[in-house]
Amino acid sequence: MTAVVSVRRFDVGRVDREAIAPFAGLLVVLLVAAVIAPDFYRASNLTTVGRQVAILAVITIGQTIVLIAGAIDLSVGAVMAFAMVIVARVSDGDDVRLLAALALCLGFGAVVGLLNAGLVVGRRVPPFVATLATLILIEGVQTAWTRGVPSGTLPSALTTVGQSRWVGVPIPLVVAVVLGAVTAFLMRSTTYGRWTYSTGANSGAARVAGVPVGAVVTVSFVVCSLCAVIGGLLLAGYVGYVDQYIGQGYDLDSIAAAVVGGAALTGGRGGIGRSMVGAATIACLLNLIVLSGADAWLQLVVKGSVIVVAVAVQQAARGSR
Amino acid sequence: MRTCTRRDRRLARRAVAAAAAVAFVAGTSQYASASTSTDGTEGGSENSLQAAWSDDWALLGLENPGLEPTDLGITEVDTAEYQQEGPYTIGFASQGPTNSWATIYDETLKAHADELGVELAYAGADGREDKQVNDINDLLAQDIDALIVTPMGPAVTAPVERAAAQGLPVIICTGTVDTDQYVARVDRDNRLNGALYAEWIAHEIDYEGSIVMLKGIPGVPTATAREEGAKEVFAQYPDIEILDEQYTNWSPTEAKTIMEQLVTRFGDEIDAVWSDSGFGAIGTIQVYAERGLEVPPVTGEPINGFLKLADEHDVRFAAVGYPPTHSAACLDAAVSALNGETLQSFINVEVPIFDDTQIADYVEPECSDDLWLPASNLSDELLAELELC
Repeated sequence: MTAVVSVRRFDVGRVDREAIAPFAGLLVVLLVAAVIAPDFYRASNLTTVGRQVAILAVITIGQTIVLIAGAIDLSVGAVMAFAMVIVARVSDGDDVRLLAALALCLGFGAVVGLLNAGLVVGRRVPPFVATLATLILIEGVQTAWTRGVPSGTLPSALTTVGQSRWVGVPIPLVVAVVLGAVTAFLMRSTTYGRWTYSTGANSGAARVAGVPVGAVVTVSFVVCSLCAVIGGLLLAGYVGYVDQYIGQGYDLDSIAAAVVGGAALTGGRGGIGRSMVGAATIACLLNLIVLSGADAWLQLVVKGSVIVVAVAVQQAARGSR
Repeated sequence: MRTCTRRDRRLARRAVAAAAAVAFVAGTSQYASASTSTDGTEGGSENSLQAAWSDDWALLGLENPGLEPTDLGITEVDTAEYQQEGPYTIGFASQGPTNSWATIYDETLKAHADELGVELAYAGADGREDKQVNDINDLLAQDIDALIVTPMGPAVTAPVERAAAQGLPVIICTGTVDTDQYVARVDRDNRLNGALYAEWIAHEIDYEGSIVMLKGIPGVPTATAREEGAKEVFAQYPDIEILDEQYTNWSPTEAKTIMEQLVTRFGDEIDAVWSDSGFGAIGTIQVYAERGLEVPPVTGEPINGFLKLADEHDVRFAAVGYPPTHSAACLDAAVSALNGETLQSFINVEVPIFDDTQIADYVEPECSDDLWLPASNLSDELLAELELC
């Protein structure tokens, strides 16, 4: 029964308070920006914010799918960093070898996704523990491979993608929007999407209803790791420097963004579009704090507070339905 | 008009810098030899910290604006009680290879141990304080003659005191501990580094203008000491305004993001950027260059990626090194203690100090961005093995 209910809840076209809340949150941030830091709306800053939103949004898309399936992925930051190390080392600045490096990165992402899924589905390890183990494993392999020294250079083709604009829009933002549209379609209008929601809401009931729960969770983890690879490469292109800690913080930020967007850590709830709005809210807010001249230490306080407020609002919206 | 006078001052300063460069070349070789000698020359009448405070300003064509040298309560330490016959086994509780700096740091000390015929018992802490506490305990359980510690945090104070209580000479190598139960501490006075950057910037903008500060990690002693030195200098110049200060966490990614936002907020109000690291300098140059703006004078540690960008965009900069290769001096101090030689309780390491006029002597266009310069005292084998060159 639960499975059926949760499938109906997310039928196309259904608009409720729960779905509106994240947009209202973003709107508030944008209005506050207009009042306290008009610089926020300068073209150069919008480009900066656009890139920051895009990269967090790409990671959050994957995280949201895993959360909807009833799991969680703590390894995305490590995947981002490793993808950058692979690209720098394999291509060593050569645009021609970039293609081979990209293929290798995507293959690596798929392997990590399968590993996470294998632990969670095959060995019944709780997702939190399984993906934490994967995170440590990836960091270990990276240190062993690079000996702590991430050598190589990023190819100019990648930095161009990370730093350029297309019709005034930063390319990472274009990538994020396309990826968001494709995955939103997958989640809302395909059998796979419906299966994912029902698996997260109640995997036992879903299994009884004939949903291939194991396969659904596996696909979710693989998609999440691939999103992390894409996000890592976009960030690498933007930074333009081999930073082996590049994905640090993105695991928790992506979870926070999804939660602000209304995804539930208990599974079965959430949406791609709303999570992307959550990512935009967090990224805009952090930018705003620096622009408004607030102290650096305030950033974490504000970030924490926003998550608490967002969850409280979501709960209230659910309660009043 | 203002630019013109600034340029004149700059030309005059370059003449001074050129003269200082001659002195510096001598200094470099001295530095290289200091890190390989075991004759205990650190124990001269004037200690290495006083020497740095009186000599380092001139390397950037500057004078000390009136700061008192850092009072570290340096004493002469008699190590006769530790004297024993070799060969020695020395424990090294290190940070572990968590980044290129730390990897080169470890490899340099290991290579130097081979040269001296010292057996090394090594433990890497993965940058973690809690692991290091266990590491030191494990090392103490082995039959070591001396202990070198690169402290990861205040929690290692207890195991350091335990080592001292066991009668081992302890050398603190880069960093601080809350105890005096060690023979010597080998490090660089980071307050001086921060002050050198600040005075160079003040001089560069003619002692008036607006700047931003890019600091490291909140609460980390290396970062706080650099900030402290800089603020003492800026406090002397009422016409210099600090527009904002932000932490980069020594991450190239965070540094660039922060700098994007500062440039948006202040635009061409920013006359110079005080950065305590090469990562902050990299982010600064990238942001200005990508927006097609002239890069303001900037400071930072000489990482190859920073110098390559500075070279490409013709950036005015000052660099004060923090070379990982000074770990060799820590091993020398440990060996000196076991030889029963007198040591200073603080040994200030000599570092390369230079500006953009000397960039050609340092930048390595063919090497990796992540290489800490100068690399001249690293073996070709090590550079190749780490794929840095």
